[in-house]
Amino acid sequence: MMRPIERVAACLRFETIDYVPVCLNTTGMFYAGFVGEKEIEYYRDPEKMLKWQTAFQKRFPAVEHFLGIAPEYGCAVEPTALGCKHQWLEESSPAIVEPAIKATEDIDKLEIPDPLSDGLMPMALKAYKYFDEHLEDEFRENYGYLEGWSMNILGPFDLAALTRGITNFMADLYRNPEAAERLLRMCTKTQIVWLHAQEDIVGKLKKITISDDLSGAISKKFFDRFALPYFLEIRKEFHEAQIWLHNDSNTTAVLENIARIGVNAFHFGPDVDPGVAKRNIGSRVCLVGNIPPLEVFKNGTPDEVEQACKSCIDKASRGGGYMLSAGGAVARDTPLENIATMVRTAETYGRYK
Amino acid sequence: MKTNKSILDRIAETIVNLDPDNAKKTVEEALEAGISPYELVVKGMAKGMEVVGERYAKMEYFLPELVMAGEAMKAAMEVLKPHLRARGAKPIGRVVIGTVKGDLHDIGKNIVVSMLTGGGFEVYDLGVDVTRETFVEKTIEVSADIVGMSALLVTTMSEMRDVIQELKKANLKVRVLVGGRPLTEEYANRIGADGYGKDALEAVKKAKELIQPSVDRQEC
Repeated sequence: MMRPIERVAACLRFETIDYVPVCLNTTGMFYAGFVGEKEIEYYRDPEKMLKWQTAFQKRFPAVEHFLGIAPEYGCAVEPTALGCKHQWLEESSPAIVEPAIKATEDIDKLEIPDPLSDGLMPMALKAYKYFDEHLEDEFRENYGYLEGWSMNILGPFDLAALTRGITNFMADLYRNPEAAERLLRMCTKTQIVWLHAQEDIVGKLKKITISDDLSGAISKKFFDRFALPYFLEIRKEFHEAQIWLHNDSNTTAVLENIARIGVNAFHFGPDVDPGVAKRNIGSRVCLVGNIPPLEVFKNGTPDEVEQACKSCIDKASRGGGYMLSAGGAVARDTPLENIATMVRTAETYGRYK
Repeated sequence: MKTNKSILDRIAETIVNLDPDNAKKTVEEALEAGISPYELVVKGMAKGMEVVGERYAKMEYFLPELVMAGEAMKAAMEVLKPHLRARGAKPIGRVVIGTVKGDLHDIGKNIVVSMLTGGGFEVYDLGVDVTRETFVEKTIEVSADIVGMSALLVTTMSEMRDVIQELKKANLKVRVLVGGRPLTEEYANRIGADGYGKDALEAVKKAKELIQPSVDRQEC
């Protein structure tokens, strides 16, 4: 039997493997339920964060973590470094409550953050260092976690939208597109600096995970103008690293545009037909998805989970390059029985045809 | 000379073309031509929003287009409001809306607010992280017809049930409309909501259905 690290690597090369890997996007929301504590305990304490993540990995050794075993703080880290205000809540990742800029004129006042001093970046780096010092070797050897594996970052489009305020940014795309582009350039530079700062801890990056949901809620034309060029800059700067992209909006209209980023793996949402994703981009990009995370994975019976998993495998696994997953982050209180069912279905039914 | 019909069509077009400046100008022109504000809303702006909804469903329009259509509706409504008031016209309905306690997400809620405002509702936006007490107090204060609630997190959506129970305890005859990414129609029914909007456009449609008897009575 292949080790998880071998199975995933072969999957990304579209090679034949023993069974379809299971790859889940698990965050504090899920882990808090898994251990029966409040989410804030996870986000405030790197020791608990590492402990809960590895406890889940030990419970489900066949599951690959989309975000790796690494610190994650939802979408708060980079926006706070650019000046957005955040708030800690008991049952949520830290949330952005006020954008950094109120008018497009303020874009030019923004400065590239210093990861050692700005916003939540120093806290995240400290946690990353803690993880690197304390992660048991078996997780590095069997999965490759923290071996040049970045913390999850926001895509430039999401970061720009949070920095400006989502509604205002969407209106800027029409009213002041040049300003939107200036902000996107600033956000892209920020992310490049942020990723390089992470290299000081885990070495040259081999794998970068990016979440960028809002770029899935725009047209092809807008994607090509306001998202693609900025993704490509990150792609070019870290040209040797794999890029794993998460976007669980309905990306049906922009699948081809996403493939042009040159991403290695794409974790997509439940509104996208996996068959359509496979036909459009599935021979170039490894697809990761997409049983409905709430209606089926959390609220469905094990039988329903099994049927949904089989349907995804049937539609998306032909020719390889496919990992089974929920179409989004795993919801709090998703039954462990349903996760076990997904793993079992992958092991018994998940063959590349 | 432009007919009523052509001006109303042009108003609809400004919404479809996502053009707040022209929406405002065309509404001003229509008022000068003597068209009633109510006719402008129902036969002009609302028709435009219908087309926006169709294009969104066909994936020709996306989130930025919804935001801009909402802006166009809002710009037109700003011009219309004093005229509606002068004629003694009541708003289509009063809506108290917010994202529930523990949840700070507001993109969907903000679009709904824009579109409800543009659709002729008087909207009281309570923002995010709204307690059940605040929902109840504001509902009483403004005699709201509808309470709208949004949640993005699985962990906060159950708060909606508690707000509904508080509204019932206070004997308020108000309709409740809910929406947000983790919600389903089935969940909305289960917690006792009167309506569920899968997206902003559907939320506005439902809001109109919920106050239908009073809309039918509107004449101004």
